Parts: sequence; structure tokens; C-alpha cells
Amino acid sequence: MILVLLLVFVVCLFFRFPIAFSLGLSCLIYFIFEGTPLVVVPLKMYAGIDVFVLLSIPGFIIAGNLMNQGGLTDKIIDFCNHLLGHIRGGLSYVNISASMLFAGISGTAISDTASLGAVMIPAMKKEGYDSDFSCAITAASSTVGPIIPPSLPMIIAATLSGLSVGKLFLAGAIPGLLLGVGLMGVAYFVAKKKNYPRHQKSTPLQIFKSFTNTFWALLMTFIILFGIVGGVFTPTEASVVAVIYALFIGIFVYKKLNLKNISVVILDSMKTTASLMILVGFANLFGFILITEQIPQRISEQILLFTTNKYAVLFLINLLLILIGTFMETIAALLILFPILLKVAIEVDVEPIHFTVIAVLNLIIGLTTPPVGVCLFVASSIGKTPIGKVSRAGLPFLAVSLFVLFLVSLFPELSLFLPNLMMD
Amino acid sequence: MRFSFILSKFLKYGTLLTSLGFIFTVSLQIYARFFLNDVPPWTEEASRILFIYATAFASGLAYKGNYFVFLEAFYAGFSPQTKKIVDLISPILCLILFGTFAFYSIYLLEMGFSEYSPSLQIIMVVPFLSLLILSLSIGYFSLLTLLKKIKFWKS
Repeated sequence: MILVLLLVFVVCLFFRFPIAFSLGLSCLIYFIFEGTPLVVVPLKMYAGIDVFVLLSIPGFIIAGNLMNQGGLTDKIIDFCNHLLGHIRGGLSYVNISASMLFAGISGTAISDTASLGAVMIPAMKKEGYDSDFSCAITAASSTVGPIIPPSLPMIIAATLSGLSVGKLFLAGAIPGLLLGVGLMGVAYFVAKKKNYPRHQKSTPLQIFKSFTNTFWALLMTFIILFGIVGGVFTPTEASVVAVIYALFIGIFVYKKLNLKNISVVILDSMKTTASLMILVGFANLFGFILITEQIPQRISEQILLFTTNKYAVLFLINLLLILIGTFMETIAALLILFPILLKVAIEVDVEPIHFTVIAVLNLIIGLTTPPVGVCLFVASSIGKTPIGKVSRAGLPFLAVSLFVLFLVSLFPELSLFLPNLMMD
Repeated sequence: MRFSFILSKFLKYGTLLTSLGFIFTVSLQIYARFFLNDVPPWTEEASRILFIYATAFASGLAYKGNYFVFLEAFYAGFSPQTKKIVDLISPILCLILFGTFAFYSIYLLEMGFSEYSPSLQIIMVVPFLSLLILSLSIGYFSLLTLLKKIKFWKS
């Protein structure tokens, strides 16, 4: 019967049916074949989204979009430009560092590619950077977002596993920084080889001025992170504090928000949230079937029959997740696979928080893995550059990302050091 | 056309009001914890119900605005004729899914008449009604998409 479920799911995906709906329809057909009362479909879906921590998702999305509406993207880019623009190939570092700072606000890779790419790719092309390189670096740098807190995939993983959101946020910080630094390393070599331009060095006063412009926005990340880690707020409360803070900054400091654009931002953010929540609801139904059929146990047993070596198991999981991440959106893949693979990982003594970071890192690397990495497509369409050229230019960045994944998989301390230090 | 316009407006204002509602109730929870001695026990439940309603109102609009993620990889390789067929199949499948969903949501509503929420003590029909709104709105917009595709197919 489980074959029917998977077959319908895959066929629906082929027919360009939304992933969320494909999950729902495959479950519906499974229940019809099994003779299960179909009232379980709305009931389980309701149970899937009736979770308090999930309220933090619209909160963070609304806060990020409100900040963006206040012209935050330009301000962050301007600050990074003053700070790093004088190094050869400066705009490459600006792109990566802006992504790392922006990550604290948005939390998703595809939205980072779209928002930063719209500004950075034309600016880089105008200054003589190759179009494929500009697109590739934008796509690669935006993958830092979902690892650096606050991270939507981490919230979803916490909902699925019952792990602490605060610990998961902290666990992603060092791998996120490593990824950013690694990408900057590649950018340095490419910029030197291609003799990309540099800007004039900014004076300390200019740097300070641009910092004051972004300060209020960056403070939001710290309020969120330390509010959760310090036990002041729950993640949901922190997200609502972020919304109120973003409203205050947008209205009184940046003076860019009014009643009309606030309502547009809330509406747009809720549409994004609704698409995610339907996915979460149907994934709950899908998960219910997998558990009923004991699929996690069976997969776990099969893998452990093949090998019980912790690193071999992690290697197999990494391969699977990168492959899936290439085709499928991060949160969808996480919802379907994470509970199954977490069980396997726990069986071979991998710490759940460490494993969550590995899983999220894998899936976001998949977003820039040719031939179908979604971020590559977004960047190539913004830069009007063929996807093949962007994919080729992105290979060195992909190699560095894989190296960081290797390090994170091999050394649990990279993920566990901060949560153990600050929350145990 | 007029019904579609009125429905979109209804969903839009429903989304805005319920979103502001859950932001307000969570804010109240924070305020109560810091400035009052006691946190009202109903704030968490109220915010969850408002959030589910916000999701339900927004989901039809999300479908209309193409916010749902799908797999482009295979579709991109299809011939124009195959794409035309696939474009027709997707809203049909959607209609089947959410039509069935809406039908069984009514059963859920019936079940909700005899149940009460733990802290607000409201009849469970109220929160369950959100699922009917969700399924009917997506179903309606998928029907419109299907009709549009049929028209396009003929032309």
C-alpha cells in the first residue's frame, strides 16, 4: 500500500501539482485504498498546524518583509560596501556579507536570492563582473540564510522533533559563519584571477554613518536570538516582538511604512505562510501514514543492516539529502524526510541537534546544486544569464559548501559548542 | 466575476483581521507576563485559532497568486503540447483533492458540535470551520483556473 502512496506522490509531482497538494492527494488515495474514514484528512491536517511554535513562522516572515519594505536591503548593502568594497572584487564580499546579515532578517534562501539578487546582480554587472559569476555568487551566498538564526527550516525541524528552537538557532551559527567565510575565500581567488574592480576605501566616518543606518535593523536579530536563548521569550513571542519592533522602526525611524504598505506586507507574508502551513498540514498526514506503516523503523533497519558505522551512515544520509534538496524545496523535503532520517541518526549515536544542522545544511546546499538547484534558477532569471553558465560558475562555491558540510558532519562541536555553552 | 471579486475581498480582509488578531493576542501574552502577575490562560489557544483562520483565509489567495511550490524540473523538459495537457490536469487534481477535503470537513464540523476547546471553552465547530473556508476557497480558485485553461485550450 505504501507503494501506492509514493507512486501517486511522484506522479503528481511530474504533473506540476504543488508539492503540498501532491502529499495531500497521495494520502487521500492511500486512505481510500485502505478503507480508512476520510474525515481523518481534515482532522490530521488541523492537528498538524495547531501548534503554537508554528506561529513564529508568519511572525518572522512579516518582520522580515516589514524591514525590507523600509529599504533595509539597500542599507545593508551600503554598509557592507563601505566595510569591504575596497578589497579587490569587493562587491563579491559585499554580496556574501550582506547575505549573512540579511539572513538574520529573512530566514529563507530563495527570498534572499530574489531580494539581494535584484540589487546586487545588476550592480556587479555594471561594475564589470562577469554575469555568470554575479549570479552564481548571489545564489551561493543566499544559502547562508537558512542556517544563520532565525531560520525557518530550524523552526520546522524543532516542531518535528521536539528539540529546542533556541538550541537549534545557536547550533546553526558557527556552520553559517564557516560557510560565509568559505564562500569569501573562493570569491577572493576568482576576483584576483579575473582582476575584478575595487572601490575607494571609505573613511571611518562613512563606515560609522552607514552602520548607524543599519544598526536598528541588525539589532532585531540580536533581540530575537538573545530573547530566545536567554529564556526571555518563546520563539513565537520573539517573532511577534520582532514584528512590533519592525513596525516601530519602519514607521518612526526609517519612515517608510504606512497603513497601505503594512497591509500589503502582512497579506503577502500570510500568503507565503499559508502555502507553508498547508504543506505542514499535509506532511503531518503523510507522516501519520509513514508511522502507521512503520516506515522509519524499516528504513532504519535496512540502513543499519548495510552498515552501523556512524560516519558511513552520515555519508549515505548526506548523499540522499543533497540529491533530494536539488529537486525539492527545503521545507517540503525536511517535512517528509527529517523524521525518518532522525531516527536512523539517533540509532548510530548522532546527537539530534548536530543531525538537524547537517540535514538543513544538506538541503540548502541542494538549492545551488546543478542541474535543478532552485536558487540557481532564481539568480539566472534575475541576471538574464543561461542556467548552464551560472551552474558552471557556481561549481567552486558548491565545492566549498560541500567541504563545510563535510567539516560539520565530522566535527559535532561545530554545531554543539554554542548551544552547550549558552543553554546547558 | 463579481463573486470572485467579493470572495477575494472577503479573504483579504479576513486574513488581515485574523493576522492582526494573533499578533495582538501573543503581544497580550508577553505584556501580561512582564507587567501583570498572571498570564491569561486563553491567549495561547486564541492565537492558535486566529492563526489557523489567517492561514485558511490566505490559502485561497495564495493559490490564486501562485504561492505554492511545485517541481519545475520535469515540466521544463515537456513539449508545448504536453505542457498544455499538464496545465489542465493540475487544477483538476486540485479540485478533486479540495472537493473531497471540503466534503469531509463538514463531517468534522458535525463532530465539533459536541466538543469544546480546553481553555476558551468555545464549541469546536468554530476552529474547524476554518478548514471548510480553506478547502472551499482553494477549490473555487482551482475551478476558475480550470475554466481558464479550457478556454485557452480551445483557442
